Amino acid sequence: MGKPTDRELVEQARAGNAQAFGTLVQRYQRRIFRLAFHLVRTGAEAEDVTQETFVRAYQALDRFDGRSEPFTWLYRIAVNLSLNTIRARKPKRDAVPADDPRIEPLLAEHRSSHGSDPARIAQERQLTKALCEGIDKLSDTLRTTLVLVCIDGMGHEEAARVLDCPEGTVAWRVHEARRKLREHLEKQGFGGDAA
Amino acid sequence: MSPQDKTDKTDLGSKVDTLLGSWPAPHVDDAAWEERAASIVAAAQAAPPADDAALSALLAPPSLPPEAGEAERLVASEGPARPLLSGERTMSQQDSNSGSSAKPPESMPMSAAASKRPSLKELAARASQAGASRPSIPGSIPPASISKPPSEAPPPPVSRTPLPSAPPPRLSETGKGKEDSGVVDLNVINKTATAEQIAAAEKAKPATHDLAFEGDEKVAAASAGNVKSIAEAREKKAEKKGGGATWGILVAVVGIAAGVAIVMRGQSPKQNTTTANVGQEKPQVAVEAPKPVEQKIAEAPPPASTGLSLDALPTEPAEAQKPAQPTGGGPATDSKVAAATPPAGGAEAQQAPAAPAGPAPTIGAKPGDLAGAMAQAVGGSTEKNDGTGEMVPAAGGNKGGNQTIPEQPSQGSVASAIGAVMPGAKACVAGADDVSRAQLTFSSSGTVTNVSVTGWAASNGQSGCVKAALKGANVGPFSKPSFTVGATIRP
Repeated sequence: MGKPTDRELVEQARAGNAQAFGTLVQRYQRRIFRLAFHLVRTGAEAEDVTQETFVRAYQALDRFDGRSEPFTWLYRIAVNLSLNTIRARKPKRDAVPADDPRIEPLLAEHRSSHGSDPARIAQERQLTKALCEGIDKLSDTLRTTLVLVCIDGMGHEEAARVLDCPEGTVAWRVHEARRKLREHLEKQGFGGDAA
Repeated sequence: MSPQDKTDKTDLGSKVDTLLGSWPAPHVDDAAWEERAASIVAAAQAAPPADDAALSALLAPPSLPPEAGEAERLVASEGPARPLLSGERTMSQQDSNSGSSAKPPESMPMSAAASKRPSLKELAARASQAGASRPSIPGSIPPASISKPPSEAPPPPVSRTPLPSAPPPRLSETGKGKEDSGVVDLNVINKTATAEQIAAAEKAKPATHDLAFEGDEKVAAASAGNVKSIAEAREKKAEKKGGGATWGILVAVVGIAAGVAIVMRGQSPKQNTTTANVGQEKPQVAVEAPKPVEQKIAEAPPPASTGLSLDALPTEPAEAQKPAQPTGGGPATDSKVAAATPPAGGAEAQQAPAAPAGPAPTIGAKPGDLAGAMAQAVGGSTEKNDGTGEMVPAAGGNKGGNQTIPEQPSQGSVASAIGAVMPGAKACVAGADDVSRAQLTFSSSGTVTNVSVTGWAASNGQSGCVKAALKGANVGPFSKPSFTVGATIRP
């Protein structure tokens, strides 16, 4: 017998099967955490958002009408909670701190390909920091769409369902966000003459 | 080593994509994930029942305001499916901007039928046909400023009035009313004729020598009686019709006068081109308006033949609140825009005859920015934007500075901005038995800096949710330090 589908898990959880809900949590908590982390930009808040997402989803199991996939449903809750967290903050910081929690995971991801060249690592750190700054300068609309599509790897169709907008709008936002990111990086000195 | 030495410009896009696509979250052990999952399930089971409103808000689509420039794409691909929101631009604004913007309009998809609006002459014709008993015309311009008598309430402020979705009623249909049909039912007259009339008709026998067929005197007599009866009935009808027509003329004249007065009041100090055009056309309208009463309706000249239409009136604030109707009839100021307009059988071109000859207003280039347009009319600079269609923020201090920014956000932009975030706020108060009110304070950059919530939401712990929802509103930059507006949130 294969693994139960998301819908089956939701049905079982709705019937009171906590284990089914636990399976659903294990299946999606990493993705939800990653999404929330890139939206709220801190690990602690991302953890809170992740837990709150599943708690709210559990409370709203009866409202799941099955018209969309459960993960779309979870994503929408996570995006809403992340946006609420962002908007409840003090005004946005101007600059990305050197210890921004987003920088190190990306450097660690690419460290194997860069080897141990300190200059290369420093340059990658600069680029990553500039990239974080560029993302932070984007509007909530563009940033959320960019995180969903480019970072989380969600398709335009799925992102459109989460954001409740046409696919074309998602594509336009992604294009616009990438354009603005490129502009920002060029202003920061990246993307100049070829090495 | 400078960053330029390390990154190829041509590869920057793919480099960014690579970085974004492989950007992980902080590493967490599998055991920690297991532990977290268990704690999440425990927390979910232990959590008290959630508030319906809060859940609804979370399950609703994220309230993300559309980006500037997104409207053009939406209009091009989806049509006028929803009202314009904050940051979006109407087609009329595109028209006004196109003169200084290098970016060509992407499309003008509105059909001519949907965008065509009746001219003053057409309205006058309808008013004269309908008379006082028919104060409004469904599917046409609201009559508050056109055909309502002065004794009635003044026209309401700018309201969300959709453009006519159904075609306006045909002129010929207006003649179906009993009083105005002009049809004389001979059978009814014969039946209602008195004996005296019949006798008089027989006595007179008018034209029997000429009209009678070979010796058919009975027929001639009956015909003579009928002719007299008909004549009398027509006299009565004429009197009746004359009264209705008089009322119609009065209503039409009052309506036109009201319209012209609004135009003159709004723009007479400026004496700009639009006012001049309206003023030139005014006598013509005054002469033309009674025509439909005297002529047959079907013979009425084409609506746009006078060259004066409502499109020439300064309806910019109303334009800003209309749903996305890109060819909303705004003055066609740019030949490119005019060329891009879908073929409308010439009606489109005739609908916008009062286009200002001067440069397109770009000051405060924003939907519903009447202040900017007026500033342009009195000689404001026609500074070019950068072609991206994006507004220059007030705080930016670059380019035009405050010269290109209105003193305060227009009513349309405020309504659009609040309308964009209102669904989220409504979701917070879903199920409420009373309204909630919020005071939104916008900073000069157009963003919400403060929201104060009163009413049901405040007394039921939903003020945070409402605030979070309303804080996403953006009215675009303006020059005042702040701008406060109230909003009522109904469940």
